[in-house]
Amino acid sequence: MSNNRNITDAELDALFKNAEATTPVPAFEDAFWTEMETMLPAKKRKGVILFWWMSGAAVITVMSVLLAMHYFGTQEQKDGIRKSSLQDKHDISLPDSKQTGNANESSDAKFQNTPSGDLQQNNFFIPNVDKRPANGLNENIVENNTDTPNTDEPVIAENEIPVVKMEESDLVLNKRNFVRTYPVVLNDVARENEEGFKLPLYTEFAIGYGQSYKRIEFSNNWSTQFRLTAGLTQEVPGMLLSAGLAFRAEMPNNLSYVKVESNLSSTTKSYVSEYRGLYSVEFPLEAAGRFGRNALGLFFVPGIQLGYTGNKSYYENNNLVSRERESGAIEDAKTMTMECGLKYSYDISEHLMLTGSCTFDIVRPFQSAYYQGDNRDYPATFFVGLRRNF
Amino acid sequence: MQKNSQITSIVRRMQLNTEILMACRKNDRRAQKMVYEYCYTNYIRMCMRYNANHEDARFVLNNGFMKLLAGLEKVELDSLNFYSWAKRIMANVIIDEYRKNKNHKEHLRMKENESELAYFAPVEANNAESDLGVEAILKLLNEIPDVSAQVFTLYVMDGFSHKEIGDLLEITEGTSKWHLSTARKQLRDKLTSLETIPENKLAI
Repeated sequence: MSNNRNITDAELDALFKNAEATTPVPAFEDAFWTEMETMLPAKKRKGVILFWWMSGAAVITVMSVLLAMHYFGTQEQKDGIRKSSLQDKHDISLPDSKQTGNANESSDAKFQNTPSGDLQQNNFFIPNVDKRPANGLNENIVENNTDTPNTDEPVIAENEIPVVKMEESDLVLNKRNFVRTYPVVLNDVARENEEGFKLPLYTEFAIGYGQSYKRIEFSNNWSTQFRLTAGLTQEVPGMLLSAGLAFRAEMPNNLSYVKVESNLSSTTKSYVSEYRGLYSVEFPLEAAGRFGRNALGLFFVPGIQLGYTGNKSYYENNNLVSRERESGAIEDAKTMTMECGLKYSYDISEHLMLTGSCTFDIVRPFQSAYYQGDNRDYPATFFVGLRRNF
Repeated sequence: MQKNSQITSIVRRMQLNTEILMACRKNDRRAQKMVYEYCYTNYIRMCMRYNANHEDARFVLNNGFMKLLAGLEKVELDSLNFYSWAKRIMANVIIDEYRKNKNHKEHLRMKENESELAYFAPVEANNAESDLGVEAILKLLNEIPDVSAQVFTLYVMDGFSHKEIGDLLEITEGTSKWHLSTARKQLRDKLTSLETIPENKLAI
């Protein structure tokens, strides 16, 4: 009794501490976690699924629109393309209407504003062929130049310009008159028909530099990147639209991937993998405004990225146990990505374009537990490339 | 050489659970399980101090884990001392749950005192006889006022400071110190009475 009354605070504390420490506690069982897991909110899979559905839908929509525009484009666009094609092939110069002294200048003022109208005012010699269009067009086209003498001498094209009723668009009528005036166009049209289906394809190769989505352990997490793209493209008035499928490779130098097997037991087991390659499959979409030879617009790149290792080291309690060369996909090292930015293109020739883009990651990398893309200082990527349009 | 030291530093940082916590934040089930196992190992004993059985203790632990997951979204992981932070959250949840159930428990205790005193009396005597058994010692905490017992437990067994205890129990530091002193005095008295029971019995 006296002993207990005299025990110090420290002894009393120790008595209770020891008593508590010796009380048995059931060891952890997986069943406890199973019970806990039922209380946790469901994983946010919905967002992931929505992301892919929306990305897929966007790519399919853009590609469909591009194809549809290619096949069922307006007659005006086709005429425009045909005209420029003819200009290229025959090196047709477009003289000033004032210099040619067009007789029908006042009556065909509207006509002259159209490309084909201009073409009809040039001073080409016209072969002596039957210029009358096929049956059925007579109702629209009425010749007004009945005074023109029917001789074998070459005539000036401007004298052949008909007066038309405005039941069809200027360009449609223009085309008919143009075909009527220049039989060579018929050959072009026939040739186009013979060529059949032609996809509006493009390919692009670009080299870039940017911060990686991957876990960043060292200060330098910038990597050299390469992107090879193939897809569909379409020029519409004032715009350049493209949708494609791209393969992107990143070559990081200082990225490591750490996986801890267990840090609850007395031994901490860790695997450190050094990345040697990060590969992505992407679906780049582009909508750019056309300003002469320049195109500037939005660039949107959803994709999925996978990580591959080079060296893999195994540690126990911070001590290196083994280190080996390894290649292959890293388990869990995958994420979905979404970049958005600007892209600039410049026509350096008829089919070649020089491109430059700057994109930013607009969503956190997800899917994998081992990504820290959101921790990057500058989640940006810069690319310079060369594009070939077919 | 430099790279090796960098890798070693990575592994050291991993021991602080930063990577696992990051994964946990991203709703990775495997990482969450690891953190739960960590919490169970470290805090189930704390929960059991305030709960009669393991199931109740686990229920409180689970509630604490839910709060911990919610809190992870808001904290800066790099500078986080996870052990202390999690212990604080668990203590908060334990005390909240304890307060919620206090009335119910007091009712049960009164009932026990009135109708079942006779049943418990011999058990206490037996514990005392068995050289102050562990359970008997810990049961003494139930026999002193709640707040004093809580302060004693939080200070001695859980290692909280008086300031932290003051925050947790919404009392001042001075009050916390007073409760600790009172608890120690009362526990000493109880221990003495436990030891005297066999002597009295022998005398009778």
